[in-house]
Amino acid sequence: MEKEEILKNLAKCVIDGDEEGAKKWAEEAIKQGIDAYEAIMNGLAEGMKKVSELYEKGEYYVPEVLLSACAMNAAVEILRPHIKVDKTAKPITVVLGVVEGDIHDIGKNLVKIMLDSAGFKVIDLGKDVPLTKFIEAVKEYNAEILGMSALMTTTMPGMKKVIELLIKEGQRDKVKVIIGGAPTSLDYAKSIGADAWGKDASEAVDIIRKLISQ
Amino acid sequence: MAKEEMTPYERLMTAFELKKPDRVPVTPFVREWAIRQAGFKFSEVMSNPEKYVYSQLYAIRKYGYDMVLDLLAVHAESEAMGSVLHIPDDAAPSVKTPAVNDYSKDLPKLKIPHPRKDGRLPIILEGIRRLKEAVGGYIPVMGYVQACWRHTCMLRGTERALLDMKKNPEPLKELIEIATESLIVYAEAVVEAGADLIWVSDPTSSGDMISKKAFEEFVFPYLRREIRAIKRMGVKVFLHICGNVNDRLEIMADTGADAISVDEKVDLARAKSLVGNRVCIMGNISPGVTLLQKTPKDVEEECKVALEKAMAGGGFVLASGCIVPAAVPGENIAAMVEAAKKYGVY
Repeated sequence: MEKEEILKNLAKCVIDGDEEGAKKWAEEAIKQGIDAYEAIMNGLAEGMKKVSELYEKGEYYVPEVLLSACAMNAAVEILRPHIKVDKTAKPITVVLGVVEGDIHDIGKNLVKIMLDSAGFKVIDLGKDVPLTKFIEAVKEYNAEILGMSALMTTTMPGMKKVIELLIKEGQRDKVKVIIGGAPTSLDYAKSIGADAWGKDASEAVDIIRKLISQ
Repeated sequence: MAKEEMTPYERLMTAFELKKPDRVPVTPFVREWAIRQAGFKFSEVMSNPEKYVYSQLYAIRKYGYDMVLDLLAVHAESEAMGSVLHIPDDAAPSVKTPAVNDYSKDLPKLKIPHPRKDGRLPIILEGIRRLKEAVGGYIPVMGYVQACWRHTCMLRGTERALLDMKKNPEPLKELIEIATESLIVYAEAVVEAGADLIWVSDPTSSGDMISKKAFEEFVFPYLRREIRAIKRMGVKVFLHICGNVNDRLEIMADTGADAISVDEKVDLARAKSLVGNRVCIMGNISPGVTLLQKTPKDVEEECKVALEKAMAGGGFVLASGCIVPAAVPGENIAAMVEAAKKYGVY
């Protein structure tokens, strides 16, 4: 079977939320010698991008997105051990979390899947994370990237406070800050002094790569 | 300004009956805001009805809006059924560990809680009794009961419950069934304690979360049963769903609620023309943007627009779009109340 067709099937299974299908095509990809990372990024992640679009358009809702994420997760589990990693290179460390007072972590979990698949070392602090914990984690893990999200207008200001804390602790120039979440915007990211803003999970990998290469 | 002729109780009840009161009632949904105004922390009131009641009375006397609220939306109904809460020092609690993990093991173990004995429910009921004693008959006392779908999410975990719609619809429906029954039992105790009206709310069933089709299958039949049962207890009911509910306003009205409360994602003029002849409309001053971040002048302006859109003919309550954050400046709540008095006179 053609590589293109397998990638297309992987994407389709994610779009349809078909977990069994996604697993089957992930195994097929390995059998055919397709690069595992490529299968994730050009197959599964492409599907997830389409899912985001369908959600934007109001054709998909949260249950559909979750089902797609399940399918993606299941296939990533199969593909991950086959990702070729450069054992000598130190992976980029990313600290991730949803800020204090906010327990909406569906988007953050999608970002984690994307980054995991792309070979980043992800330190997931979870949801409702006390603001000082972000600073502690950045220091402890020597993180290159700090990713934060907020899904409520009432919790958004927490991200600004974290950036202020980073400055106060002399850590700001050691880490790049990326934010996301439904009520946020590029303007908001700029206004609080973040380095980047991600519209949705599918953008995360590219944005972080760009930040690191700067 | 015309002299106020009605008590807050008469005013709100008149609006709920789709008639014109002396002026539009104004009900900012204040919980943590009142708690902070009174100088307490959220965690203190979680186990102390005296402090909570004090905060409500303190704030309403100072700001003069039209409704007192019980200790609402702290997932007490779900906690009483086995979900474990995380209670931060000075913020609203959330569910840490949901009661239902494995359907086959946990569903048969679920009990309908005893409202006077189990969990935090007696504390909340005590608060309602005290509020009623303090202001009953003059200011309406709002008692809160979760919507059945929200209760389900707090028993199962929101993400899992949403996924169950796709993966395990049958056991999910059994859980919604149990949730609905338990809420009707609890509502009876809330009414007995003295609530004049019941707030049924659900942040997890708007069009931002689930499709209209899923709403019709997993929410509406149970919600209608819950609301109708509460109405038969002789109180008013208002249904609040945060978020984009533009495609389901009619279905919300079909539940039999006296009023539906919406946030800023719904245009009040549209809601009024669509269902205003059947239900009272409540809304929709933005708590996170206008009340929290703008000036009293901006608040006044937004209230004026809301009143222009929806007060005509009666059946409108000027309310916040959702619960008011603790950090909202007092001047902004004062501006909201003033706007109702200035622009909301019939």
